[in-house]
Order: sequence, then structure tokens, then C-alpha cells
Amino acid sequence: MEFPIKGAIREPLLFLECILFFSLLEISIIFLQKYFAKTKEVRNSTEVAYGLFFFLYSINWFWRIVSDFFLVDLSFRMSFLQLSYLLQVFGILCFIFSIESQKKFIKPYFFTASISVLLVFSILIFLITSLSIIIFNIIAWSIFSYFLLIYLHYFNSKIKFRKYHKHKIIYFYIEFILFLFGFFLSTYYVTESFGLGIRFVGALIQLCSIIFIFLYISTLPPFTEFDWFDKIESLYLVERSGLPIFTKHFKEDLKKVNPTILGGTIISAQLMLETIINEKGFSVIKRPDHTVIVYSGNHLTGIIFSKGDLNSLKYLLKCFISRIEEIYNNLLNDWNGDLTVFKPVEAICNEIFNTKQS
Amino acid sequence: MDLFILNLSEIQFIFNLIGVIVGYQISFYFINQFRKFKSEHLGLNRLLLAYGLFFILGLTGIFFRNINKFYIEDLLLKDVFFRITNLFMISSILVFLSLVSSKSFRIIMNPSITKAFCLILLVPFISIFFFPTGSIMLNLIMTISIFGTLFMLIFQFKLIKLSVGIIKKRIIYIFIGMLLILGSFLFGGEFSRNMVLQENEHTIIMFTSFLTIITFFIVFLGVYKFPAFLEFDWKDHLLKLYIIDKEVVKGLYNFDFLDSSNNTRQIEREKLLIDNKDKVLSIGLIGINDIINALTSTRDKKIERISQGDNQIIFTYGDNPNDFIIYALLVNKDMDSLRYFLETIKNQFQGFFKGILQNINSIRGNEVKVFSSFDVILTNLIR
Repeated sequence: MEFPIKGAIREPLLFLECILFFSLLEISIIFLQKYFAKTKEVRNSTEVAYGLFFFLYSINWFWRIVSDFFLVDLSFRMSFLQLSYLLQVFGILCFIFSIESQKKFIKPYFFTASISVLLVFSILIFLITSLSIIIFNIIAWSIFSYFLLIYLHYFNSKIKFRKYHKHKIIYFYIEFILFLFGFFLSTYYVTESFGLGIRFVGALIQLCSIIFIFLYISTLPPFTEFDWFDKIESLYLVERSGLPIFTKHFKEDLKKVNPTILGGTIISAQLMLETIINEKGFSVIKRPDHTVIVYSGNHLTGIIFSKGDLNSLKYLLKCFISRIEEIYNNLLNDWNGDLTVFKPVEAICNEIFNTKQS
Repeated sequence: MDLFILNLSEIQFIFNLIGVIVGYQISFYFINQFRKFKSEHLGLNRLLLAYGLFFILGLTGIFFRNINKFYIEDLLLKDVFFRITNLFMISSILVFLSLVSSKSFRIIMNPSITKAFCLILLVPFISIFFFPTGSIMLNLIMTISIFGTLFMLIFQFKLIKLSVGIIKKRIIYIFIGMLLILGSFLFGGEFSRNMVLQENEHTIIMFTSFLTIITFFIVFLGVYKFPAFLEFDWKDHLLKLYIIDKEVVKGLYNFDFLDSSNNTRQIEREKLLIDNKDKVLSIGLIGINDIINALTSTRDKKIERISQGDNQIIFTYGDNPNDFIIYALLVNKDMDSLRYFLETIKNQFQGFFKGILQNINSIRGNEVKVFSSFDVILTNLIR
């Protein structure tokens, strides 16, 4: 195949790949903007994963466009291409690292370490020798494909309680597979064998699949919710005197604590901690099997029993307390102890913790 | 040996293409925003549709111009594309002005003058079909579209002066964007390229193409989550709000828009509601509804509006399952914006107290204390 690309296919292919580059860039900006728009407590690195991956993949396409359509000097073109291979591997590394920072697959950071090794070797070979690093690129994509299978399986386990999304997830899988297929079609190996027409088809498939992937992800609940939903066990709401107002158990097979004893105990503990450490805010009591998160507003204290100390749970607890106090503020100032007025708290809890299966 | 082959035409076309794609995305966003508020019948929201169609038609014209410039060799076809380009460009201004020539915009510009400009713009629009390209006559007639453009800019300038708050800021962004795009229309056009900028054609066109992309990001800042466009002086006509529970014939909440110290304490709030006037109003409104239903034998219809002298009471009712709640807004002028505002209050109230309303019986006797926390929400709505 001759480079730079010439002939009748040049312009349609160039324009399509430019549209692909720009679409990837736009989508990456949207993901990254969504991440930075959130408060620190509810930021989720999955959004960074997608954002960085699409961003680096878009730059990779830019590099390919320049090298295949505009570069005349062959050795300079090869160097340029090598850089695009490095970018692809780096993009894969960013995606895998962001996902593995939340969840361990096989072993902690196993895939991150594998891709890092490949990247280091690629850089060394690129700098020291004139050999092509395409083989490392192929290995990286193979590892990435395998990682994606594991990741999609994990993703499916998180989404299975969402009936609406569960049915649509099959399209998500199809689009991911199509994306990989489109990428494969646009590789040099395939275009050498079948011509540039197949590269055009590959670029088109990638463009359509990333748009559908993006549209599907936009319909999902925030990624943060996948963190905490299976970790939260119980929620207690007590008045500052220790009187329990509301209790909710998120898991059915739990050993239930007497909320009256719990309320008084926790509030005493928190008061003690605040006195000793002279700092207000969240109190987190960690054990190997359980974590207790406590937050006090002006009138009410919220207690969460969970399997981990998550910022998202703290954020939700704070929102919950603030919301209840906002609504019941005037009533709480001179409350007569009537618990029936707090019956609507269940609905507020369901709204904030989104426990309805949609 | 050269490292690159750089076909500037291709680069220009790519930049133009990306600009067109971004522009189309923003246009669809404008139109989608208009569609969201369409059911509220707010006349000023036509401005969103006007912007959307302006950009779509203008960008389509640019797209045809680019194809004509880079790919069309045949002279006859070039002529056709040239005419199509100009048709789209003129129609973008024409459509914008015709959409803002409605009575809703009379406070900004006399609708008759706007309609007159629309008729004037028809002259170059029709002339394109009859006069040969490049003729002095056609060039002279096309300059009329400049006046149409200037009028459009003056309209927007006046709109900015009259707007307040978030909307003013958003319209300024869109206005800046429009100015820049019109600039790139002008610099990218055949007339300016041939007459003025021939030596620096490539540089100028590259610059305008790049500028177009930047411009659309500025426009996007203006259009992103564009709020409903309420009439300019709607806040001045608000008097009082009542939220009533029909089932127990009791007021749940009230708010006096004229009283500046509306952050009253709970005890004073209770006094407000047990004040005879408000209590009579609460019971009376339900009573009137029931009487009319009985007289007309129509239980499924509800009162929408009651007029008394210069004042009016606008009603809306809670959504199922909160249809036992009546929202009544006392105003001194009939405006669509006020009805939209009342709907917004209803949605905010239902959203904020969703859990409470599902179990309202559990707070009987304490309704005033609980619902008085809506003050904060309402104060933010009218800010």
C-alpha cells in the first residue's frame, strides 16, 4: 500500500476519519467534564477511564491521519506511526488503571502492571532502536480485549438489579464488540490485504459504535452508585437525644441491632470523639467486616452500617440528613416526640438512596 | 526532501466540515430546548427556534459554498451551487426575523417593522432565481441582505438590554457567537475574497474556519441548559400564592410576594393562615369549584382562572396521586409566564415534599411547620 494515501478513496476516507477523530474528542471531553463537575465525594474513576481512553484514542487517530495522508518521508512516517502505537498502549493503560483502582480483577493491578511493562519496553525500543513496536501494540490490544471481557462481566453483575438496563446491556456488549471489530478492520494488516475500502468500513463501524456506547452510558445511573449499592447494609436516623426516628435495612439476612441502644451509644461515642479530637464532621468506625459511618446535623444524626468506607456513602448520608432537616426544620425546633410525623422519611430515603428497582 | 504534502484545500474543508458538524449539533440542541418548553406556550421561546433554524440554514449554506469551492469544476453547476448557497444564507436571516416578528416580541421591536424587513429580504431571495451570477444588479440587490443582518443584530442588542439574570448572560454569549459567525460568513464569501483578500486568501480562510469552531463553543456556553424565556416583567405582577389541601379544606402554605420580610417565623406564619381573609380564601376557592361542578354536572373539569376586577387567580392542580392539592396564584395581570411559573411551583413543591405528600396524614396538625420550609425554594425561584 502506498503512502500518503491517494486516489478516489482519499478524500472520503480522510473526511470520515476526521469526523471520527472529532467525535472521539467530543465524547472524551463530555466524560471528563462530567467527572470534574461532580463534588469530590461522588467522583468515580470510571468516567476518567472512559474520558482518557477516548481522548488518547482520538489523538491516536489524529496521528494516523497525519502519517497516512500527509507525510511523504517514509522514515519520518514510521516514527510518527510508532508514536501512535505508543499512544494506543498509553490509552489502554489509563483505562485499565482507572478501572482497576476501583476493583481488583484476578490480582490487584494485574492488568495495569502487564500493560505498563509493555509500554516501558515499547518506549525503550522506540528510543534505542529503529525496530517497529507494532508487536507490543498487538499484545496490548489482545490484553485489553481480554480485560474488556472481564470488565463487562463485572459490569453486568452491577447492573443486574436494574431491570430496565439489564435488557439493554446486550446492545452495550454488541457495540463494544463492534468497536473492536471496527478497529481490527482499520489496522494496516487488514487494509494491506483487502484495500482501503475496508478501512473506510472499519472507521464507519467505530464511529457508529462509539456513539451508541456513549448514548447507552448516558442512560445509566451515575457510576458512583455501582460502588455503594451492594455495600450498604443498614441506615439509622436518630434524634440528638438518641431517640431513633427511622431505620432501614438494605439487606434481608442481617443481624438487626436494637436502634434505641444503637442511637444512644453512637451519639455518645461521637460526642466523645468530637471532644477529644475537637473536630466535627463524619465519624467513621472501621472493623475488618464492617464500617460505621456517622454524621450529625443540627438536630439529627445518621448512621450507616456498610462493608466499606466509601465517600459516596458519606455524601449520600449527608444529603439525607440535610434534606430531612431542611423539610422538618421548623418542626424539629420544638418537637413533641411524636414519631408519626416522620413516616414520610421512608420515601425520602428511597429517593436519595434510590432503592427502587427501575 | 519534503516531509509533508499539504493540500490546503483539504485542510480548509476539514475545518469547515467540523465547524458545520458542531454547528448542527448546537442547532439541534436549540430546537430541542424549544420543544421542551413548547407546551408552556411561552411566546418568547420562539427565539430558541429562531436561533436553531438560523444556524442550520446558515451552516447548510456554508456547506454548499465549501463544496462549490473545492469540488465543483463545471461552470453551470458552480452557478447552481452559488445560488443555493445564497438562498440558504438569506433564508437563515429571513426565518429568524419572521419568527421574532410575533406580538410576543413587541416590547423589543415593533412587529410591523420586523415584518417589513422580512418582506424586503424576499427581494434578494427571489432575485437569485432571475439575475445572472456576478451581475451588478444581483450584487446590488444582495446588499439588501446586509440591512436585514444589521436589523437582526439590533434586535438582539435590544433584547440583551431588556433581559436580566441568567438569560441576559446566555444571550450575550449567543450574540457574540453570531457576530463572529457573521464575520466568518463575510470573510469567507466570494465577494470579499475576490475583491479584497485575494493575496491572503488561504490564511484568511483557514483563520475563519478555525474561528467558526471556537465560535460554536462560545454559542454552546450560551445555549447549554437555556432556561424558559419568561416575559420581561412577570415578577412585577405576582401578589400571593396559596397551596390548599382539598380533602381537609385547609391551607398548607402561603406566600406573600409583596411582603419583603417573608422569612417569617413559624408562629407568625400560623397567624397568617388563621387570619380570616386567607382562611376564607382557602375554603372559598374549594367551595367555588364544588359549586361550579354541581351546576355544570362536570366533576372532571377544574377551574383554571377567576378574574376579579384587575386581579386574577390562576389555578393548577397536583399531579396524580397528589391531585388533592390546589395551587392558586393571585396576580394582577394575565400572562402565560405566570401560568408557567405556577406550574414550576407545583413541580418544585411536589418534588421537594414528595415523601411528605405520600404520607400527609402522618403530619396532620403540623402542616404549617413542615411546609413553611418551602420558603427557601420559592425565594430562589423568584430571584
